[in-house]
Amino acid sequence: MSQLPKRIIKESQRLISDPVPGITAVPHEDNLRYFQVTIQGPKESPYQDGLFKLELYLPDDYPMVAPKVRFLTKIYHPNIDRLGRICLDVLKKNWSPALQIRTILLSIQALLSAPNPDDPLSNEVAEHWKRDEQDAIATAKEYTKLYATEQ
Amino acid sequence: MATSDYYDSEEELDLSEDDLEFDLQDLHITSQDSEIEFLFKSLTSDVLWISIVEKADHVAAFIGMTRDECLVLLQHYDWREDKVLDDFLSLGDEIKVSKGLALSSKLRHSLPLHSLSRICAICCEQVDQMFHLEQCSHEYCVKCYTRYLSDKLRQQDSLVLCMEPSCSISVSLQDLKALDSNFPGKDHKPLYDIMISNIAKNYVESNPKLKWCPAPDCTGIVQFDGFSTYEIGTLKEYLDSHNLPIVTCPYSHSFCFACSYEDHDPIPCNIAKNWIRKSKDDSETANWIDINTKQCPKCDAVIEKNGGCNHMTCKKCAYQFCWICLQDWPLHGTAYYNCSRYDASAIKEMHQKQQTTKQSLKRYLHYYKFYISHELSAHQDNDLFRSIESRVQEMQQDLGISWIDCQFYRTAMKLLIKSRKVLKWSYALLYYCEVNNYVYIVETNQSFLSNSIEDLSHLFQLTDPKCIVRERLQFINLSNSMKKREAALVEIIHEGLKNQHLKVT
Repeated sequence: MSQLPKRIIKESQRLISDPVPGITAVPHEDNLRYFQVTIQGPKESPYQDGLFKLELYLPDDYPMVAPKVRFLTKIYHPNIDRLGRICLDVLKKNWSPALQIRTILLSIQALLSAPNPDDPLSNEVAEHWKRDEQDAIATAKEYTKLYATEQ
Repeated sequence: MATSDYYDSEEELDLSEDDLEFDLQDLHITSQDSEIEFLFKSLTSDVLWISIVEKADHVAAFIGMTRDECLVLLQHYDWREDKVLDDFLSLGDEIKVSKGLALSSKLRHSLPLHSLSRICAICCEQVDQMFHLEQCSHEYCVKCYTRYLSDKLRQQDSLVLCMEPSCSISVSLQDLKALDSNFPGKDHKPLYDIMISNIAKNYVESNPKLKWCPAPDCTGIVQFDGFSTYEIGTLKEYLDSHNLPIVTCPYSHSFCFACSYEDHDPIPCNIAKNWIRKSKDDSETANWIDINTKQCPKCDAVIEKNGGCNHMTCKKCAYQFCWICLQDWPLHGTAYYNCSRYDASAIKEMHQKQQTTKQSLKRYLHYYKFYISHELSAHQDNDLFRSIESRVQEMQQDLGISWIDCQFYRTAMKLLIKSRKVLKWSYALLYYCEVNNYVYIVETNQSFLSNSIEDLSHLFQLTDPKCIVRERLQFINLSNSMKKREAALVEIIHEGLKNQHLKVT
């Protein structure tokens, strides 16, 4: 494996020495570009008390291209599909090399607090959200309890 | 009997020219009710860039901004000068705020750069060359900035923002010039040049009157300039009255302005499009497999039965079955050739279905064969065309023939390429037409044209300049008769489509 760029080393160090509250990101022993991530569901959201696992991978061209992030824990959210893929502008066209792993993870956490059914990735969920928000939130809570809570 | 049309002496040649004139007059009379010209200009990318810059300067003079700033503004307003001016009148300089421009451009480029070593926030390396845009102060190293911009520009973006996510300043041509000056080497394709072509792309794509030439790697542009009459206002009306807007780019590629495909005169865009799609996908291969093969019921091996009885033994898995009902052979008992599940109507239906698919496939392959063989010959003609210049030079140098006297050779080649194209597309058209007497007429004309084309291409096999010059008259005669036949075929097809004699299914 080629030498890890200084940028990635620095970011990894800072994620460990100065972690973001409610978020952990640990590089994998065998592949330092692969991170195991957990995000706590934000308070006063349907995902409260849940602990969501994600994977994050830094492609060869990072930071010129965005990291690849995916939810591993099942989640009921209009901008996240069944495979855990996330629809978030900063991961796509609004990515800038000046953004970092920590800023991306914070954006994802914010997305949990503020679902955006008008720009959906999962159509069914988004429709549910628009049709009957209370009911959709109830389903999201149920999912959180079922899949994102340690039994 | 194609040769009967040629003239062997000068006298008769003159006569044919008279004929031609007469034809032209005829054409003129008919043209009064149908021929409406599609007016266009062909531009090179350099000429286009000049007009873009003129447009920007025009706006700049009104609102007192720089050319670079106006290029950014115009892109935000889809190149509508009036809208830029409107917004400028109501907003003043505030117009800059949401459009990626700084209110005041006091900052200067920091190049050549700080001598102090700094750490770039992108690569986290110690660097000594930092860079920031003219209009903002967010500094990153030259290497990172260049990589970022070349990535963005390669994606054909023409509005690229500063790397800092919270900054909305657009990169200007001046910024790119400053960055390019760091890489004087040949390996570096100037970002400035890429940006110019991206802006030009943005300009062409936002303007329905402009089209890129679709030929590979061609950078020519065609500008639509209205019609020769005011009776027709839109391109759609023009197409609906059975006309084709065939245009030519500055590098002499001709194409259809409506569908941006190569010149497909005399057939309409939608038929050309369907035909291309059909001949591209391999659906007919799948059809063939469908009609002519069955799968072994056990191992799914694909089997073609090319003779013999219905008692099949799969070569792959040795399973024995009946070809007709695809059941286990022993079920049939000893009743050889007598399928116990024989169902007359079902079999008949299946047979009929196979037959119709078979026929349509046969029909397609028939036309496709002609189409593709002319397409291939057209490629060879194009290769030949490239070698023509050298041959013409040979003629001039070795035989002392004047340039003008060699033109017959070049003209004949051009006509040959054109006729082949017409013939090729006419085959595609017939595949979609209902068979009737009119189709028969078209086919007859096709074969006339095809004969002429073959004769002329045969003549082009001559390589010795002496022979070519000796056959000069033959070249002229053949290409003239071919041209007439081509015009006849085109006219028949146009008429047929217009008067619905040719029914497209």
